[in-house]
This record gives sequence, structure tokens and C-alpha cells, in this order.
Amino acid sequence: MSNSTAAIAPPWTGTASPFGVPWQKLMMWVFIVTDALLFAGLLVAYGVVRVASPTWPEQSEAFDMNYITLMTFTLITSSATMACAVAAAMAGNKKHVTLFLWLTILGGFSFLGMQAYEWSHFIHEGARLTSNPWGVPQFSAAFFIITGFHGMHVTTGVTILLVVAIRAALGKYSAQGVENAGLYWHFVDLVWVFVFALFYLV
Amino acid sequence: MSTHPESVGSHGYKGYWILWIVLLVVTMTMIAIGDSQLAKASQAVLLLLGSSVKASLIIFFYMHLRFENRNLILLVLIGIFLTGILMFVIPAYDGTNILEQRLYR
Repeated sequence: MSNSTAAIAPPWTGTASPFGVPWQKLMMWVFIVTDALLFAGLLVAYGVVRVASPTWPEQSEAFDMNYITLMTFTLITSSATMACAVAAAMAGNKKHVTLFLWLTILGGFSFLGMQAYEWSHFIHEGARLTSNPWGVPQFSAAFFIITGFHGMHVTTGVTILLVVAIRAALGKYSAQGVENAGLYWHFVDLVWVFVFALFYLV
Repeated sequence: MSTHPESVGSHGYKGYWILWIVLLVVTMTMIAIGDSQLAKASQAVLLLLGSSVKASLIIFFYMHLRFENRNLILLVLIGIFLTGILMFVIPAYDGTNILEQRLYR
């Protein structure tokens, strides 16, 4: 590049990202930010509906809070094992990558199993999308939409992790692939932090 | 990833499990706040703060954002800022309006 061209050329020549990461990872971050806005929209809608409602059921009447705490504990633990899997991938430790990925998948399946039980229990008590025994239809609607949407994200995350774990077991994984899967999984945990606080605790 | 292998790979797993304990402690504190006799509005503010602390720890340590390029950090922080406006400011405005309407009804 001549001096005159260098003087007017932009800093980014097209050979490397100005973000300093591969495009897959950048796109994962962009996806995470936009998906966070989507969940924020759902939680805000829930907040407005709740404030607008003259009454709202006590969560302890409808849910077993110890059970919900166990679900939260499971998801946080799976996030820790996922972080270990990424660290192992960075260090090139295939045995640990596989081990921690399977532990994360176990955590994901446990969470999904507990959520399926919670849903079935809630439905068995008479809760539907448009009505429930507690007399505030918005309560069960918010529950099904928010936890259902989150559950779909967890299901997607477990599927991605299964693919990455199988590839890791076959020795076909890349540290980048493990890290991208990890970013998504941590995001799923991050969303639950807000769902747990705003839907179950307040 | 490739930008920070030494910062993640060589530290082992100890830091992640220490953070796991911190996250559990914050979670238990939030449960205690939820069980307390505080007004719902105060609970909501404290729990949002607790959630924000947990989210920040997850983003910067588990998701390794602190090791990334400044541009990427800014991209994410701007997104988080917009999310924060959506979560904190809009409900506060609508919530106040709704409560006032109910008071004067």
C-alpha cells in the first residue's frame, strides 16, 4: 500500500474484524444482545400487566419455591461446567472438554425435566393460557409465555451442546465452536436470572 | 476466543467454581429479599439490582467479555444499556401512570 493510499484508507482493511474476533463469535454476541432485548420486552410486558392488575396471586400459593430454587441452582451449576468446558477447549484438553460438556448437558436435561414437571403440575392444578384457579388470567398467561419461551431456548441450547459434545468425543471439535455454544448457554442462564427474580421472587 | 487463550486456558477451573459460589450466595440473598416483608416496589428494585450483579458476573467472567476487544465490549454494553432502559425506565413510567390512575379512580 502506498503512502497516499495509507493516508486515506480506513483502519480496517477487510482482513481482520475491528472487533478482534471471528465472525461466528461476533454474530453470536449480536444475536445475544438482540435476544436479550426480546426477553426484556416480554418481562416489561409482564411487569406492566402485573402493575395494571388490581390483584396478583402470591407465588408461594402457586409454586413450590424450594423446587424453583433447585431449578435455578441446576442452571447456575451447568453454567459453571460450561465455563470449564470452554477453558478445557482453550487448553486443548479433549478429555475435560467432553466431560464438562456432558455435565452441562446433564444439567440442561435436568432443568428441562424439572420444568416439564412444573408445567404439568401447574396445568393439573387448573392453570390454562387464558384462565386459572387464582382468578387472574394474566398470571398463568405470563407464566406459560415467559417460561415456555425460556424453555425453548434451553431445549435449543441442549441440542447445540449435544452436537458439540458428540463432535468433541469424535475429536472433531474446535475451541471456537465450544466457546460459541458456551456463549449461548450462559445467555440462557442469564435470562433465567431475571425470570427467577421478576416472576418468582417479586 | 483466539484473542485470549492464555487468559482462560492456563488458570484452570478454580476461578469458575469460586464464581459459582458467589452466584449461589447472591441467589440466596435474593431469595431472602423475596421472602422479606419489604414493599413489593422495594423488593423489585433490590431484586433487579441483584439480577444485574449476577448478569454482569456471568457476562464478564463466564462469557469472558472482559478479555475481548474494546469495540466488542462497547457493542455489548450499548445493547445492555438499551435493554436496561427497556427494563427499568419504561415499566417505571407506565407503572407510575397506572398507579396514579388507580389512586384517583
